[in-house]
Amino acid sequence: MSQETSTRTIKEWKIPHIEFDEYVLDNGLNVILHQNRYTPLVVVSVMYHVGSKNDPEQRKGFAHFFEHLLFEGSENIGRGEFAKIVEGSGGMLNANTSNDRTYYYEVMPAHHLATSLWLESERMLHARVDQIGIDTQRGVVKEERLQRYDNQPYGTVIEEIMKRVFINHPYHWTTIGSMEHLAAATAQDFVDFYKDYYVPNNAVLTISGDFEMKEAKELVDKYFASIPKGLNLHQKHSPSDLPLLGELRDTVYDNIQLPAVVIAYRMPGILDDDYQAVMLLSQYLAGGESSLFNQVLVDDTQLAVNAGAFSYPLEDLGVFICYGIAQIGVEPKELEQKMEELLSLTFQEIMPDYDFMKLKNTIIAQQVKQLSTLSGIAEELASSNTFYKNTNEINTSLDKILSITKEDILKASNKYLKTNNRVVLHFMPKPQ
Amino acid sequence: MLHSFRQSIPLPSKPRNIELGKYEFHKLSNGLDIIVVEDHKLPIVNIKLGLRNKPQLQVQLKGIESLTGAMLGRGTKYKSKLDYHRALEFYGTNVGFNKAGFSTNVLTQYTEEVFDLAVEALLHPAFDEEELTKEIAQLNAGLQQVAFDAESIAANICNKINYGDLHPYGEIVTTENIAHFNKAEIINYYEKYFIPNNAVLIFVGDISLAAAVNLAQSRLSSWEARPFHEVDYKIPFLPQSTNFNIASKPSAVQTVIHVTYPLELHPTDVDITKISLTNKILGGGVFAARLFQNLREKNAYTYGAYSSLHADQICAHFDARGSVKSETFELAINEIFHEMRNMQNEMVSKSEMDVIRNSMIGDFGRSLEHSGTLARFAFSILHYGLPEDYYSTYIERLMSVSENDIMEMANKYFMPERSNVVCVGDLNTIEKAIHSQFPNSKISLFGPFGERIEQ
Repeated sequence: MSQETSTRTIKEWKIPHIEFDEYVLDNGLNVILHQNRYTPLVVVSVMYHVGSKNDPEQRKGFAHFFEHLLFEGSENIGRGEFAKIVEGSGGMLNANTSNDRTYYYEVMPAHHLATSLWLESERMLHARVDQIGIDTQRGVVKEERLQRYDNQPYGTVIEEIMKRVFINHPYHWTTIGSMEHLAAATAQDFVDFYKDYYVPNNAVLTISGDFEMKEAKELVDKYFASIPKGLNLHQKHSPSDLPLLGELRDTVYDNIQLPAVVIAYRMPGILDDDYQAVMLLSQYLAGGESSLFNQVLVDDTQLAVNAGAFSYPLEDLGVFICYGIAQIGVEPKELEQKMEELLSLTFQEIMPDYDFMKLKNTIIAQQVKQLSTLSGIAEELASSNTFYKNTNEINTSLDKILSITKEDILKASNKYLKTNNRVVLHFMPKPQ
Repeated sequence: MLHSFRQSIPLPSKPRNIELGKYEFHKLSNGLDIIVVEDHKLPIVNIKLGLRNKPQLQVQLKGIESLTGAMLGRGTKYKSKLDYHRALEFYGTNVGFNKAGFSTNVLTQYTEEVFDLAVEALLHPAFDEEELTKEIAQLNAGLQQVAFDAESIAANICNKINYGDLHPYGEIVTTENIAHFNKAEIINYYEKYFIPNNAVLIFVGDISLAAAVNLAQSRLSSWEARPFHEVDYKIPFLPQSTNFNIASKPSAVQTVIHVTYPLELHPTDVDITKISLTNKILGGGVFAARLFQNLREKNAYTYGAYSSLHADQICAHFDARGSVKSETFELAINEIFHEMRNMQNEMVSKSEMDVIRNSMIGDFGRSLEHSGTLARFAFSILHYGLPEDYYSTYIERLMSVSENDIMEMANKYFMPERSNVVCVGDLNTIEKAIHSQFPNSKISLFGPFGERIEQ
């Protein structure tokens, strides 16, 4: 490996700088405008700083369920009209909910910018949902849970991890939540949640693409300035959690053919400097065919058919997940032991220069990819503002990551990859 | 406060033209076609090599196509698999090898280095025995998991029942086929199809036409052309009547349903644009489509229901599908038939057609944000022999479709009375419900790989 190092260097790279304009309306709404006139499209998005961590204790899954309900309509938009208006204008729309935020967006032909702003302002000002809407979406969310989690092999892995890695923090449940809780949800829950979190001072509006600055600002003012500020905005949970005191081991029986091993460590959230170091560590462990996990677990020993490692990007706290799916006939114990050996390498030895340069090139390439679509840029702008309170994070994050040293990674791995800070799960085939 | 401006949809501003960018064709003397789309917005280049041959029957060797592709990524004559990927991944990328060739996204500054490595794998694969054994073990493990994945089981049965054993699309990879794979068979497949006169090389992104052609010329002009032939297959028959094909997925909590049948619909068919719009109204992936509105927004049977009817050079198929609530899956199937018949019997309204048509024009405009779309257009023009202005006149063609055309297409291409229905889930529930909802219809039982099970 040493001769590889001596013959290679990282070549100069260039990453486009994302220009943007930003301001805050009197009601607290953050507005970010990014002009980009390559194609006659405009992306309008609203990121609300509310996710499943804000689900009321007895309403797990409510934030996500609520996202479904916000497609139902408003004082001025009838049930089912919302999507029809967007699609009839040649646009597309969607939304998603994470543990920390809910994100709504439309990608529109540039000349329909006003329509998109009108729709999002209606959603923020006076969304409306009737009992039919609530009952229908409850059924839809139930089928979503069955399709995407319960009926999929390994579909409940994340849920099983989160409920053990976190103790008191609401990260200990996942966005899809509990169907029993949603069955009990009432119209009043809807009103309360809307009043608390769907307010301009808890949101970021972005407009990206082909538009006139002046016109866009006038439209933002017209549709959003009169929306009243929320008065009851506060996080109702504590952002910290009790420490994991000792390793927690468990076996989960699932509808699968091949056993799986999961090792999950409690981590800091995305705002902590260590987060990026651990992200690089996961890339070193499992990014690509020549990574440690793929090379050793999948290729050399053939203990696993598939192996990976990633850090779950969360705001308050985090989790670093390593997994392997066992090859036919391999016992989970054997696979776990080998994973363990590889993990311990990362806190014993500093990684080779060659691997470190490889890592940097990979991160640069990933960043270019993230900025390759208007939608990607819009979401990155919104996230930077929501979580870092600094929109320009979109332009500085790469340098920040590239300034992390091999020593930082070693230090982070020693700090977090500890036996008493983790959950080990074996997923086993359910006896039929 | 009265905000009258809130009560209606704002007027749009002046529409901007959707402009198609430029693509360029070039051909090397060994027959290799080259397509280049320049786009210097970002410092990245996508390079893709695709084989052009039509899918062929492999009989006992089904799966050899993918296996050969995968083996290209398992080491070259000069580098072990690990050394190869270490060299490649240094540049922050990888090359995906598949049955049709390879594809990679590379930072501009490493274009040559990565292209050289891709070419090394393409022209000088090792086809090492030990690597082959590992690849087969991986394939086997993947097949093990099919039995617990309702969607994979359903896809296997759809292929089997639509196309049958005598058509390439009806062949399914099984552990049995895999046992026939050996090095000689792979070399045989490789030599037959991985030839320049059966390939197209596509560059999209931050590279000039001259540089791309130069790169291809200098690295690939020694790649030798050889004659090859391909077999054409008959379009499979439609079923005589609607029939049910069912399979068990252990501990199922939903039922995966498909309504499907084979069709003749070539990419050059004159009906294509009309059909796309007709299918989009039925279930083509928008919220406003009828299947989504009916099965999800009205009945909450499912998280999503969709239909597709894509052209294909050897055989197309219709497919309406969803993962639906087990207790009412038969009602969901009924609603799919209902919506198909409804489009045959009743004229679509102008306003509904306009919503869907506008969404298609929007799809087209959005797709052009990626220069890869232009390369795809260029490929279709080259490969299927579509007219040069095919895509620049697309919106015009779409605008000329009438309500009458939609009804005509629905009657010509929707076959609610002659469909293969596939249901995968809890067998007891499925059988009982079919007997009561669709009495006297034929039910066949299948295994996870589309194998018929006699009852």
